[in-house]
Amino acid sequence: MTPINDDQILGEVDISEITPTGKTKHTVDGVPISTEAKLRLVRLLGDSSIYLIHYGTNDEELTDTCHDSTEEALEQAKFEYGIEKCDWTFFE
Amino acid sequence: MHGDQRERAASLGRAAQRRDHAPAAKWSCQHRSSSAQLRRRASRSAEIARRFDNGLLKSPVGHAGKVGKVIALMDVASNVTNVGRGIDNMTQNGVTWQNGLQVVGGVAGLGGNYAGTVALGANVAPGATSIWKGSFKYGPRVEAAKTTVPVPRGRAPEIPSGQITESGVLRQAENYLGRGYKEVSPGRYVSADGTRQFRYGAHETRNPANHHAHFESLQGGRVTENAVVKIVPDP
Repeated sequence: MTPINDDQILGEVDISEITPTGKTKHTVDGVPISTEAKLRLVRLLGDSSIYLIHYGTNDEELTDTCHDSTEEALEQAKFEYGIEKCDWTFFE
Repeated sequence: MHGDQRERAASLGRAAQRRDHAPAAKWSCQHRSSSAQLRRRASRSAEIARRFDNGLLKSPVGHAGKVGKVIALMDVASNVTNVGRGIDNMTQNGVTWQNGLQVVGGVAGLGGNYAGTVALGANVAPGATSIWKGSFKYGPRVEAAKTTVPVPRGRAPEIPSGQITESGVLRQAENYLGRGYKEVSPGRYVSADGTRQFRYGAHETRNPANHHAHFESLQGGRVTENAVVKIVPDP
């Protein structure tokens, strides 16, 4: 689910140097994902939910989680990587 | 019998049946009691429940003097305590309860003939008000607490992995979520206990080259497991 067209990127953070907390396990087709490099907060066109999208080193989208609000998405990012709100770059 | 009473009686009857058929092994694991003790307890619990079920609140003809009033009953086997006004027919019926406060498994409610919601306020002794706060409602809340026998539960369904066909994805989702799931937002479904989530909305289907769904585990509102499963056309 790569952001397209009018999808709104709300924020971004580099996680390439951050060790995950290990509290969340992500798999794609049964294979654990790794080498995550970036997180983005995205609001999709026509969808009020906020998506926390995980990107790989080649800027490819790996997976995402869905949240009711930006704050909840930030809490999920903190839960997975220990990053704070001040670590993010916001675009709005 | 009043409608609420009938429902209560029916519910108690069901509770009695559950106790009668409760697997002894489950009890013995938790309370370390013998099977014989468990059977006696189950029998006693069922007996009391049937008293409510029958609604035997009258003295039978020919048994005058054998019926006494009681103000409190504690059945340790079923963990039910009644305080108020009841009748003990020593010849036939045993204890029946007309009205009063009933405590089941640590949850208080109104037993016997009470119906509706009754707030315990000024008439409650000061020493008790710190325990009984708010309103006590006669009805399902009490009945739910009566199920003191542990209800066996199956293992949580495992998160699917790999690929799923288009015709199989919804069946997999229903198996994963179990009964009573809710759609919390378009394409996002959460199990009744709030621990499992399935996502299959517009954004999961908008890219034909990346048609997928999410099977997720939740703890305290956080996603702890997130499995992206590719959805392929039916063969």
